[in-house]
Amino acid sequence: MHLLRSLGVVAVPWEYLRVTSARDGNNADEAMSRYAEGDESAFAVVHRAVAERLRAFLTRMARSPALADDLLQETFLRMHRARGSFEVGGRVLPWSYAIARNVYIDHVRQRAVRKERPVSVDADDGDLDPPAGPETDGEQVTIAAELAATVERTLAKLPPNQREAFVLLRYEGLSVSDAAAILGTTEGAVKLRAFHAYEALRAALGDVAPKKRGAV
Amino acid sequence: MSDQFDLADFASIPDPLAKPARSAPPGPVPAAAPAPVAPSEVGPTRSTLHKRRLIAILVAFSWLFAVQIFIGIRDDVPAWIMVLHVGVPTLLGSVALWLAVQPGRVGLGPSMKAVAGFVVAAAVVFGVASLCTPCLERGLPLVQNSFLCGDWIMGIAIVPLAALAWAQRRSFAAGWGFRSGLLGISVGFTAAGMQALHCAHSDGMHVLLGHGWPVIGMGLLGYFLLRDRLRVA
Repeated sequence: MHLLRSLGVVAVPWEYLRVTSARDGNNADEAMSRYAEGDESAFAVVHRAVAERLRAFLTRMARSPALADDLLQETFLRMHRARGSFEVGGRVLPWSYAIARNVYIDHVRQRAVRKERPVSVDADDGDLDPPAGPETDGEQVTIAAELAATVERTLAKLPPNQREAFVLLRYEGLSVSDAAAILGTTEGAVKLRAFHAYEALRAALGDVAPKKRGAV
Repeated sequence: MSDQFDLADFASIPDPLAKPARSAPPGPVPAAAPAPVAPSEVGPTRSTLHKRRLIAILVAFSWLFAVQIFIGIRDDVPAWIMVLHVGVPTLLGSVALWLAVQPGRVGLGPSMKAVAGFVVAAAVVFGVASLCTPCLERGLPLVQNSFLCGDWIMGIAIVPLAALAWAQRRSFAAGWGFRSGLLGISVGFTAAGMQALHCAHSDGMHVLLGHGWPVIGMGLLGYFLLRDRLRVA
């Protein structure tokens, strides 16, 4: 854990995300509500508030930034089409995550129909670079890259319902109740799915981390 | 396995995207980025959707009532039995519809707990309302007349289900499966209630079975037929 923190790998600032969400979220919720009533100009505020987070979510789910960009465009198209279903008092971030999840589900279904192979996680993906910062040296970057690749591979092998539960809680910084609303299931089911994912990831990292700790 | 415990533990899993360009929380878009423009295929506004929903409800009730007038409304059944066999299912149908379309805590519909609670409570209330009425008359054997009534209810409920599907198409961002099922249950209860205005059998077992199984049938129909049509796609 200390090793990971020192490498800057455990870098997602949950509290920061929550504070940011609370501050920007109210504006975005209000803007989406206005857009749902027909105010076209309000959409720019919504786009600014959710685009990067949706892109990160879709990248984690699709494992390809290029594909994630395509899915993000489709997500925004669906948000435009479904704007009227955004109810007063709703929150745009969970709503848009739910639509992005729909888009990803449709992508997976279409891929299955076309019998396409999913994006390979074993192949080197130049877009998913290892974490790097000014304070890290070459060896640390290599270790972090290996850990990140292990997480990437393990996430890809998880059942989709476990992966999305874990991604929403761990990387997107959502609460269990929000994740349950997005996934259309109970909070208990979300916890269970995320916990199974966590156990699989811990087991995979357990094979990598001890060797690397010895090396540092 | 508390939330705090889980969340703290999850932080030990590194983020494969954790680099400055990707892991940074959302910020303002660069000044050079073009402002997003709403596409031409923008959807209807919220007030339009609410109007559609109102129209669908009016169409549904008008259709069900018109059918009963056409086939004949009984006037020989005591008022209290009418309340139990017509009022209670219609009320349950209205609650199911309200639950299916209500925004919930974050705008993604009711929680699974609320839906499960309603389904259990509705089954109990409908069962009690059906069985606390005496056997007034006997016609065909129980199973046969139950299927006759059930088939008829399923048949007349298709129009309201289609109307609600039209009003709510592409409007469920999450929980589309159980919300579609709730719409089916709503239509099933309402049609069952309306059918009791005409039904020749007022005994409890007939109402429970003959008017009860179409509610389950419509729930399943809603779940399997509508879930992909009602989700945001």
